[in-house]
Amino acid sequence: MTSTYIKTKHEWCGMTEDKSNSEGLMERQTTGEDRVRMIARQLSEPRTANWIASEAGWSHEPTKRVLERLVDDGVLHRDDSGTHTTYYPDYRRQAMQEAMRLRDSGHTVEELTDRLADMKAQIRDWEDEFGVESPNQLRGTLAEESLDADEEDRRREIAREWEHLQRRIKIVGFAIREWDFLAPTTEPAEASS
Amino acid sequence: MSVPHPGGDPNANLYAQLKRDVLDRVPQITTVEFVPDDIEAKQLRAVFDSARLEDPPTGPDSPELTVKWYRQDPHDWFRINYTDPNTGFHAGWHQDEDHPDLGHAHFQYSAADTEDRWGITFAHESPSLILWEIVEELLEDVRPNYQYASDDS
Repeated sequence: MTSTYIKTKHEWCGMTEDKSNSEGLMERQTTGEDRVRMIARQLSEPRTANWIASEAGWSHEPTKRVLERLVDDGVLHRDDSGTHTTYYPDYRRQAMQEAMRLRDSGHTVEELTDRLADMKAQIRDWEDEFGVESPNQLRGTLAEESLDADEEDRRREIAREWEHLQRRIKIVGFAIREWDFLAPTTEPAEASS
Repeated sequence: MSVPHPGGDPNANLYAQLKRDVLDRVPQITTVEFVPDDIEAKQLRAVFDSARLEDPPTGPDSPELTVKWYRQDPHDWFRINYTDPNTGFHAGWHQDEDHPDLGHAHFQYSAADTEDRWGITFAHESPSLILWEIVEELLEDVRPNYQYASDDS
């Protein structure tokens, strides 16, 4: 590497710093409501409507209206117990949506089962290779063993992938177990006259 | 993540969200796919239409943007990498453990005969909006200014 220096945000041309002259790509391709919905589904802690409006770069009133609609739809929960009302996502819904997406994606239940077995086999291989039973135990080997930097990086990367696979196994397993229950309706219901 | 979540997964369809919220809406991107497939879904790969990349133009092969993102406290871990096979240009936005001296996140690029990296901060906290910042920066700032950068600049 030739040089390293910290570049402040003001040195970036474009970006989100100054929207007075031209709209950025995000502003052209999304509406305020789009952005509120995007933010709401990814909150990692309960947030106020003001915080969400500011993150979305949109005004408070319409932001609050969209948030209330998302509460009505069960996407968000509202907490009125504190000084300020806060909103946070129901992440169960996203796990369900992901299982439904897999159910609707054109895969057969056999394909999903095969891939589930692949993912489990991958984890077993790591367990055997490192003599550990969990991603955190693998991370623990960094402290216990003298490893070179490349091997440390590799183990950190594997620990992350391992956690990801564990989560995927849960969702794929759920989709397989509930395969029939999650069957999509094949025909749109006829409007009764 | 301090919000209650099931099965240890705070944001189970994050990649589907990043695809729908951001990558599917970028006019210069033609296809977006899950890698290795949508079952394992370890990352996303977006393919650019090289004909739609102007300022500066590139060759006939399709540049790619890969997105690997893990939700975690206190800072998400992610690596977003742009690679142009026509020019060998590479740009990456990484919030990982590789360069703690540069802060939580850094930008790095390598062009034909130069490379550099520096710390960066984002204006947003939500993954989809951070990804929008990165795509905007790539198209409006990074490609025009660094794709053909050289050491004597």
